[in-house]
Amino acid sequence: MRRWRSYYFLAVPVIALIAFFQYPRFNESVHSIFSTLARPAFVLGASLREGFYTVRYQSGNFLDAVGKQKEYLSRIQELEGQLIRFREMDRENLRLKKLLNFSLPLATRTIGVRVIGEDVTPWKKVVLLDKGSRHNLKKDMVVVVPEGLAGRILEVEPYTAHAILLPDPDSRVSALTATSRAQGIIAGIGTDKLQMKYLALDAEVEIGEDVTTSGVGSIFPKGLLIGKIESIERDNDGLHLLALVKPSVPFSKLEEVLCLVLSPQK
Amino acid sequence: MPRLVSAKVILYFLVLAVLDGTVMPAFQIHAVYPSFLLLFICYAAFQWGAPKTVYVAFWAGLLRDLLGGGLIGLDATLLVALALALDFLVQKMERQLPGIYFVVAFLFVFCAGALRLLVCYAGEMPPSLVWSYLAMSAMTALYTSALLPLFNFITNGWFGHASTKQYELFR
Repeated sequence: MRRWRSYYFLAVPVIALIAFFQYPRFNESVHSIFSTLARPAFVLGASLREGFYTVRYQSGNFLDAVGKQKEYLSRIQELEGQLIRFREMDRENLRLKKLLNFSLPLATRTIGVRVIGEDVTPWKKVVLLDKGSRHNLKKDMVVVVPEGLAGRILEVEPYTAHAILLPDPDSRVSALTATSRAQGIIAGIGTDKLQMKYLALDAEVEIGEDVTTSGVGSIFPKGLLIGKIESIERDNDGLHLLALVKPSVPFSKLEEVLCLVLSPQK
Repeated sequence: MPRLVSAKVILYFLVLAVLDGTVMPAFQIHAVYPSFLLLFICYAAFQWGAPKTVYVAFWAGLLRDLLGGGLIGLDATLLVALALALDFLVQKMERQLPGIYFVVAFLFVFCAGALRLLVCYAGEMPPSLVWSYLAMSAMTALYTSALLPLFNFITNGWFGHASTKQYELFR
């Protein structure tokens, strides 16, 4: 009997259902009464819901911010990397502009090349250039920068070339002091200084005087600045004066150079 | 097992009704949120046994009817009918089976949604929409049944824990 009571209980909602279906107004009235009575509870519930919504969305925003933080950090790193590249490009741009300004007044055609490598031997000052015979570079072409003479092309490969710079111990350039017009030979000693050899004992060379190329020989044109005389002394055999020259070209910072395209007779 | 007509039970029903009607939408996931009133019916079936499940289902259904604003008695009828089936299932099921309570709760909640869909919109809806609603019912059932352990814990705390083993021993 007790078991059947459950089934009888099913009749109650069914009867209610039929009754409310039959009398819709009654249905509405019951809803209205329930809503009125339950309103305070629902107002409380709604404020709770607002609280939960706030917590949910704030936590969502927090998680979103945490997620975005990683993204922003990686973006910052990427942008910092770009900034470094742009600064580098800016500096390069300045250097190239300077080089261009220098090449314009030159009476001869020039080929701009980039220094892409250096000799690993500390005292050797031979650099690798990024252009070669395919770009019309030739052996013994003069290498210059806005500050003055840098060296000459030593070897030429199809796509690269080696240039020997003035400080290299094997480098020799015929030179002339700008004021006293004393002739000598500029030789590298593998350091940041150059030597001017074979100056006549009676040459009135002064410290601070500019040294330029003399134009003697067929490689270097006349008048390219080499540096300034820092000190003068007699050489070991006592037959000549030996001057120490500070080069005008910052050889440790060379990145782009110009190769002069000279006619053979020059 | 408490007396059904007691302030404790009536208050609990009201709290669950308020939670279902106002608070739970705050926890919705893709427009799906759980129903504590349906979980209460499952709880009654699992903890209190056959006679009381139907009463709980009736009051839960009536509250859902009142909350929903539709025809009063519809949900009550459906839930009482389902509660009878649930009682039958709970009596027959192997309680030691892992996850059985979860599966039964899932089936109950899903059937409640599907049955209501069938009764209210049978023949009126395009099949694609019916499948979509059924999927939504399944998701609701999943979400609701996932909260069963939490609900058990809270309800046991509210009413005091009843030992199921002892209950079965004297059955």
